[in-house]
Amino acid sequence: MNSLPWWRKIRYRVLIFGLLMSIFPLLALGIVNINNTWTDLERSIHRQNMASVRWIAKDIDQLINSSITKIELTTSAFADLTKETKTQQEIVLFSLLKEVDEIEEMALLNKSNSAISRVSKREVLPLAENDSNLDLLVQKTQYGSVYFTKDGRPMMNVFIPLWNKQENERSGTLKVKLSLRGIIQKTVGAESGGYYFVVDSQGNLIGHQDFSQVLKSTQVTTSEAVRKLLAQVSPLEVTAPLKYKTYDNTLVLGAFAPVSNLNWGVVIEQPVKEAMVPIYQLVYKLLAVMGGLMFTVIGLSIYFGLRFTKPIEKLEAGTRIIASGNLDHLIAVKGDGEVAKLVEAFNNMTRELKLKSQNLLKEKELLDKVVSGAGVGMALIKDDCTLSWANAQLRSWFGLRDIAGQKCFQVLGEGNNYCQPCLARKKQGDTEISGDMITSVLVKGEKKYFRHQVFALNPSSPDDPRYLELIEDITARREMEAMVIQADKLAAVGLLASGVAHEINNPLATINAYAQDLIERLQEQKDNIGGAEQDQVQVNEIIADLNTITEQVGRCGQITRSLLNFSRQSDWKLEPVDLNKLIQETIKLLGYRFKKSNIQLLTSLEAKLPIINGSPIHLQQVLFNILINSVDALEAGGQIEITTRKKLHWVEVMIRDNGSGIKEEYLAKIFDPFFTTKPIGKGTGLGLSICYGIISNLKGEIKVDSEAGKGTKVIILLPANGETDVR
Amino acid sequence: MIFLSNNRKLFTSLIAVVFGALIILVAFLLTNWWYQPQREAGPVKTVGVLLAGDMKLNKLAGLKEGLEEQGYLSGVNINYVVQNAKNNGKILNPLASELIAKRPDVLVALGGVEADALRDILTLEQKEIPIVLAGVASTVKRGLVDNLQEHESNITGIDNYHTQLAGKRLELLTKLLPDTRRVLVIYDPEVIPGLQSLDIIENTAALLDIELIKYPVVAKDLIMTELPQVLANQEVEAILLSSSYFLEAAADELFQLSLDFKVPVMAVNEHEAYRGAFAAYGVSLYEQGRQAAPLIAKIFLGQHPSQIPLELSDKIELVVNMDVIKRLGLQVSPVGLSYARAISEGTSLGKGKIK
Repeated sequence: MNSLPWWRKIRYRVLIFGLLMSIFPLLALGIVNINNTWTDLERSIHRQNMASVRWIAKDIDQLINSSITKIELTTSAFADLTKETKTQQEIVLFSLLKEVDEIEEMALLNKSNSAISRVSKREVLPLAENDSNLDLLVQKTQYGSVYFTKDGRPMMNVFIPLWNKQENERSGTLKVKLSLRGIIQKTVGAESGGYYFVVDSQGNLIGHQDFSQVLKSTQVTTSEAVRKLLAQVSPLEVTAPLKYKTYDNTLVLGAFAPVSNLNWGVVIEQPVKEAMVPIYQLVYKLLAVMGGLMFTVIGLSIYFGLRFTKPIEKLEAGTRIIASGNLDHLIAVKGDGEVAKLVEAFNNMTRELKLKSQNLLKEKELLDKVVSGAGVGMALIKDDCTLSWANAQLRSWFGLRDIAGQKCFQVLGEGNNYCQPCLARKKQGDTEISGDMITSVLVKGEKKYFRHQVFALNPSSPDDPRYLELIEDITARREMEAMVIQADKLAAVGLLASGVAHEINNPLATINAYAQDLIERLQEQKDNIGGAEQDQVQVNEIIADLNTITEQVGRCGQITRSLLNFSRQSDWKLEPVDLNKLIQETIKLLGYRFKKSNIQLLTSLEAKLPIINGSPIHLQQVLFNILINSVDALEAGGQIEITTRKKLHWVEVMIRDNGSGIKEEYLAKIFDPFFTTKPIGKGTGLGLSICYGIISNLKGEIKVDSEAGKGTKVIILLPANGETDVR
Repeated sequence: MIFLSNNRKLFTSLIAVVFGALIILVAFLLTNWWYQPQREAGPVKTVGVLLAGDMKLNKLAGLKEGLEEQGYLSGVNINYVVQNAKNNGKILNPLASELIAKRPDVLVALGGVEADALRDILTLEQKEIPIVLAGVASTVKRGLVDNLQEHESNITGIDNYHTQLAGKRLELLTKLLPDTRRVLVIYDPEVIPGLQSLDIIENTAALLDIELIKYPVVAKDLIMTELPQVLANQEVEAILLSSSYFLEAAADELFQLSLDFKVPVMAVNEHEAYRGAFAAYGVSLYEQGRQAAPLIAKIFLGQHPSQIPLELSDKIELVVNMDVIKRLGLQVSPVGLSYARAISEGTSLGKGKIK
């Protein structure tokens, strides 16, 4: 069983659960809190900025008023300043220039707007000046437009009317050039941070906390607050925080207020980034707390997670060990909690399982013994002829290792197609034992005969096996049956042959006796008569004919003796025979033939081969016949191998050649008398028949295995000494 | 026994839970305590200051005061590297080089010659460090910037307007001493402010019908050697000083001659009035330094000097030394006095100022 991925392990799940449960509530609360605080802070900043901007506007107004008031008060000390001495006028003007920082220049103008006295901080001014801007004598203090000096400083002219108090009429004008920088810098700055600036009625920047902006003539009309000022929107109409991108493209919170008497406006802008610093601090704080909390919770979760989950993990690990087959494993868990009780129950279950498994194993072993001991192959076959199980016997026969997906006819049958007839398909749905089917299969190079029986099963599911096939190896039985048939056939032939031989032997003996007698009598007559030459010739011819008769009779006798040997009717003189020695003698007899045919002879004769009881002459004849057959079957350069060995109570002689072999259809007839594959006149067809007869007479066995084109193997089994007698 | 064992386990578990809760609480409190919003201090800034002599120390005092108002505390978040030439003009350039080698965030020139030295060395070494002028006369004419408002250089600061005030000084001299008709103008012909001042003074003199005696001084020694003869021979009624580094350095000698020859001196800086001039009209050194501080702060905040227009000094003041008037036995006009701030030897220069 594979190990679980980490995220599926209970330990990590507990840990993650702990983390989520500790962080999520805090996070949710934090987000809600931050959102509310953000909104509140924006509103608070807006209120604060509104208050500040109103205050600054008021302050600017008051500062200018204060300067003007100071000037008015100073000039009001004189009944008519224009009528004072020049020295006195200059003293007044210089005093004001000194006292009021914002004054850049002052000019005392008479009724005709000509300067009668002038002072300046920076310039040396000519006395004569007619201010063309003043068309009329001002009746009350007037503020001129804001303008900028060459060096960029904003200035404003203020025209203060001067009165002749005695005559209660306008006597002149005091023209005051005010430097706005000083005035604006004197105002109270924005308390909540940010910056403020002042614009005139045209939206020109005339004052800024950062005076460089004024010197650079920065265009601020893109600021929404300035636009509202220019559109004469009342600040009271703006209730929600004013958030916009200002002239330098920074997102700001803005507020504005008009400077009442001057038609100017003051704007406060606070970059959102700076304004929201408390929020960011809150976020950082929250993150820091969450971080701290997370580390703590991780620690605690690890501790408790391990504590809680260790027994469960032990149980899981133990389960895997038991599942792998180790039923001796018992899981050790301390404590008396639910998990401990579960483990105890699990251990009990394991013990029970072990006991039942052992019983099951015993039963299985017993069943295996029964199934294997029956010597029958068994296979379970699915509906599609796929093998689903095979017993050990069957696997052993067919050398099966993996049967998965193999078809029964491929493994157990004779080819790649369904067996004809297929017992399973034929008997589909029939639970009765089907008929038999015999197959011959080459197993490990050996031809085997199997009898198949198929039984239909009642599978509980379509995937379960549908048939049970019983397979029986009937090769031995088949061979036995063939041997019995052969023996019976040869016995019948032998009986017939011996009968014929006996019946023919007597007339042959008579013919031979009379022929001998005639020869002897003619020989005597020829010696006695000594007659004419012609007569002598005739007698000789007759004797020659009679000799031919006796020769042919002898030959017939030889055949009849052979027949009697085959039918084991000959008389035998048994004596101890050393087969190895006999074989070597026979090899010597045939040495010329082997050399002539260039045949390689290999001998492997067991040194301590038991002595057998037998007839050396007959046994030599057997060996002779078999070896001659091998020589005849071999082409030049062939090979004959002779082996002797003891095999239980038998002595085995094996003669094998790699000659032309015997066709399968002839194998059943090779021991039949007069059966030969040699050309007419070259063999009598009695060689192997005689061998069979001799060996059978010695209670031995002779077997011939041969395959056309590959060679022939002859095995002779003879009882070791003391274990046989002549039949 | 089992009962006892179970109770012990329960107790252990409870202890563990309580302990865990305590850890959470402590962790919460610790993180809360640890994270206190603080003003972002930022990296410590370094200001390299070059001054020609001790007479400029008031500018440095004003500069420090101004930067303190901007939130830069010496030794906390700002360090000053000061190179003082001690009135030895020859070592100004090597001192400027040493100062630049220390790679300060901003270079501050406390006068025109200092500005020239810093600019020249930066150009020579092909380095780019912002220069802030803490009160320099004739910034455009001497080629430090092309224009006060719009310029492309890495120089910004305060133009003290002292050159342009040269005519105004002559006018105020006549306002204080209306009978004055013959004035000796001492100027440095080798510096731009000296020549520019002379032009303005000549124009004003013509306007006011004042006779000028021009006396160019190219070396401090000449003041002690030649000037007494000039004063003795030329019937000078008053002396008008123009902006000059070495005239400031030779102030003590000049004022001694003023007393010796009973000739009042109209000077440039408030500081000179304290040291013996009859009167001075200009912006105090202290105020010049103080006014430069916000511009340095802007550079600290990331602005390039070319984005910061040069500013003119604001607080121009006429200072009259009553002790000198008494010693010289002068009759001073109330017109002039009405505009002046009277000082005497016992008068304090104010916070941070150095006499």
